[in-house]
Amino acid sequence: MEPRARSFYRNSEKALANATLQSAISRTTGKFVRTRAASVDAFPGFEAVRHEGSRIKEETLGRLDHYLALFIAEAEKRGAAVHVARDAAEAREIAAGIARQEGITLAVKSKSMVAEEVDLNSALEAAGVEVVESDLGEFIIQLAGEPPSHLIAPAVHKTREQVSRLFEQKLGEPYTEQIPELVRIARKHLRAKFLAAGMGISGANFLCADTGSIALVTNEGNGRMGTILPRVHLAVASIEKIIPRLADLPVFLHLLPRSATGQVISTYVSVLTGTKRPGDPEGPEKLHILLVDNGRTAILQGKYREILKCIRSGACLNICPVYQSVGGHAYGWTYPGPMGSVLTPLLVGLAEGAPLPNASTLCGACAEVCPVEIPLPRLLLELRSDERDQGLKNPEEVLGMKAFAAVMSRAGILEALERVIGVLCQIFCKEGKVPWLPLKFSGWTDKRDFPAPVPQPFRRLWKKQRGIRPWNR
Amino acid sequence: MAQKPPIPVSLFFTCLADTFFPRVGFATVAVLERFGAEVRVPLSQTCCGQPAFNSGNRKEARKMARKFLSVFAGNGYIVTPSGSCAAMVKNEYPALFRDEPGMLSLALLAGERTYELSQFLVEVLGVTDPLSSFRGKVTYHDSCHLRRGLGVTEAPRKLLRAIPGVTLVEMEESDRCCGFGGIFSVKYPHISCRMVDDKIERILATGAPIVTSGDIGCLMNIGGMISRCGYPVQAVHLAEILAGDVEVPD
Amino acid sequence: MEPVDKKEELIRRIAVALRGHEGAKAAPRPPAGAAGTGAGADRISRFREQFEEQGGNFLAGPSLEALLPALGEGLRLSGVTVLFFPPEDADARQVAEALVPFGPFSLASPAEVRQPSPPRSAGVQSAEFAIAETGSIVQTSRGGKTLLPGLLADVHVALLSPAAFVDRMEECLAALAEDPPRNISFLSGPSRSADIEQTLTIGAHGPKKTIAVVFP
Repeated sequence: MEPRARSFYRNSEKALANATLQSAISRTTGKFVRTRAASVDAFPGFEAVRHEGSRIKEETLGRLDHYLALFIAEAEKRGAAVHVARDAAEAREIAAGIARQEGITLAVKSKSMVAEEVDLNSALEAAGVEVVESDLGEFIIQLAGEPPSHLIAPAVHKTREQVSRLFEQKLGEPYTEQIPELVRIARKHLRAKFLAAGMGISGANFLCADTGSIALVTNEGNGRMGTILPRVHLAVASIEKIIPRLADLPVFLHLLPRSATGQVISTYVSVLTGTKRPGDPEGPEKLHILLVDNGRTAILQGKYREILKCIRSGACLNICPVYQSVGGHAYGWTYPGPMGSVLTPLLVGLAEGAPLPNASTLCGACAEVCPVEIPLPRLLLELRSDERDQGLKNPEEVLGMKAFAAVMSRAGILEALERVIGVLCQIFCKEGKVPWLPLKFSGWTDKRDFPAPVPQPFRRLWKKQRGIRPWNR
Repeated sequence: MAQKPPIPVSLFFTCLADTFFPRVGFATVAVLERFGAEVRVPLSQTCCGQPAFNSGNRKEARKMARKFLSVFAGNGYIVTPSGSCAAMVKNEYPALFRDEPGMLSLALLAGERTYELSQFLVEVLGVTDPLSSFRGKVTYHDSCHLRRGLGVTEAPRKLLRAIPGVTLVEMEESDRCCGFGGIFSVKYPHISCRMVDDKIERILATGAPIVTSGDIGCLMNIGGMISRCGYPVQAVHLAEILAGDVEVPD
Repeated sequence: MEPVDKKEELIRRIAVALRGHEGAKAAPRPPAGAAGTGAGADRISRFREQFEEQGGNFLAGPSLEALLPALGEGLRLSGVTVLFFPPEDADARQVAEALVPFGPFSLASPAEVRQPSPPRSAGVQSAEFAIAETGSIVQTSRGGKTLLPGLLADVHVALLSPAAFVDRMEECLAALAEDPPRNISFLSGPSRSADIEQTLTIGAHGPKKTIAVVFP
């Protein structure tokens, strides 16, 4: 997917002005925040499991070479062909190659962020494959030709009327405002595709190294359809999805559904290992696993490693007041919200992703809900510091900071400045307010009042009230 | 009856109180002295450096942190009416000096002695009733740094509830960020304003004519929007409520 | 077959990236959760509570005969006309054949359900496990079992003996980890989607109704 993170400011302005998007976002995020809180309250062991999940992920990342090698060996033992893509272009090439090699003309696909990231669909389509998205939300936005706006609820920005018009236009179905009817329509169309498709494409929520297994966590059941019925299964996953053991999976099953939607467990959990065994009535004859690096090994060696623990719950998005205001599209790439504000600049480059780490008040709500204890605000602060080190900051800001530090280096200078400004404000400020602030600071006074500095700062008044004593200097 | 020895406290009044709200500084001193603190005010203090640190300008932040650590060198407590400044010193100064072992230990030691006002009153001075004459229906905003940075949520509430003239009402999502975030408020003003609108909606729903908090930045943001829109709410700093009537020279 | 070099290259690249980083110590594994000390009956009732909360239907009785009327009624109300079952699953065959008069329903083979617009069907199958903590029915492809009853049917009827119930997911996976089959599925209620206006709809893909039937 082409990044447009650089235009976050403009994207966010448009998002704030879009009433449909606004109500859709607040409906989704509000509900998920409440249901998450309720399900966490109902599970007394949650904090301990969260800690364990964080520890397992850290253990894995610390020995990723070992666990990756193990995963590949175990998967291949059980009939999988494992492919490795260094970057997006390679991933596309490999996927297209697999499709051609297997003679695929129709593929059904379930949710995969990394497939979005590397734009897998376009390569498959170029190789003559019709790719049908089977998650209901993804199916809808595929028909609409749009990218997903939320990790867990990709069509959150669409109303039922919009969906029905889409089905009318693209599927020839009669208009209806009944949501169950809309779901039935989608189910009918997709079922035919599941049965006819030569290949099912899935992501992977977790990859278990000791058994070479792929774990899928879904509510709709489309992931199961696509990985049981077609002859070929292509699983696409970024390398940090690995966990050491199948036995570790329950820890993450306790964390992921609760953190994402407040469910105790998602409706379907599938653990897929190898190909169809002799005598199995269903199952793929061929299993291709495409592991994607695309910049993650670079992250692994640095101070941002912890972002690779992310299990894509969406909890940080739902609780973030910035995300709640602007939605996912504004972030301009596959990964939105707090985790996206860290991951995007790391994968697409700090220059392209520069606005994202700054579009946060560092309130810390995200870190509180992250199921694997990623210290998101800390990582955002590091990125801001890196921007300064790499000369990516606005020169006015740097100059302003230098001036600020210079003034603050001596109390005498500060007090003198305060006195001057105080006097000026006596003259120019009415009712104790500053009428406007200069330069970028006008962003405040456009909509909010700003207090006038007092004629005598505290330090002066203190001296007056208490007199100057030796220890007060 | 033996007198308890006065507890030495150095006041970090903050650049915002200095420039805009001196009465917050006086209120802080008044309530500290009421409970046995001997308050010194090192007048060479300036800024804790968080505007620079939070925006990624660590070089400048370090400069200001060095100055802070030298001004507040010593053994007594450092108390400030600002959750964000206290969090800066306790949580971030060590990060700033991670490559300088000498400064790092100074930072760690200073951090241990640093407290936000309500935290200090309750945890160190053992105050259960601030003995304040303040009257009014009040709702409390949990500022992000005080709540998540320092883990302080109960101390301000305990103190407010103990004041006979004060009725404390909780707002929905009292810990929802108000949208200030320092430079964020002018870098992304449209998002900041949207966030403060969401906050004010929750304040208005309580019917309280007063909103209070332990951070001046939050109060300037919330208060600035309230004032522009003309809502019947006043933003008052926690220190002023805890102090009650305080003499401020003019 | 992928040239060995590329995979080796990735692993080498990662090893280099990690050099100089102290990996998190592999802490001793926490002891595998002891099987719950709750009595068997308690386990079943905890399963029932969680399963029903997730939209599942639960039927239990002293014998198959006792349950047939209720089961038949449930299937009729869902508009089911056809029943199918795995041919080698003796219990499922017994149940399905016994249900026929309660519809009346006709019997079909799994293959007949595998078409784009099949008749409304119920798939009857013995389940391998039921997990109390998550209200999950576990079906696998172990030993050549079909997955269609829990996949393509409109109603999934899962037969469970009391011995199939476990407290925790770990117990079930431990039993399967030695040599995992191609497919292990945890089924925790009817399929659902809330992707349109965040309004929950039951029956996206997969069965619209799941009935857990417990008899000795």
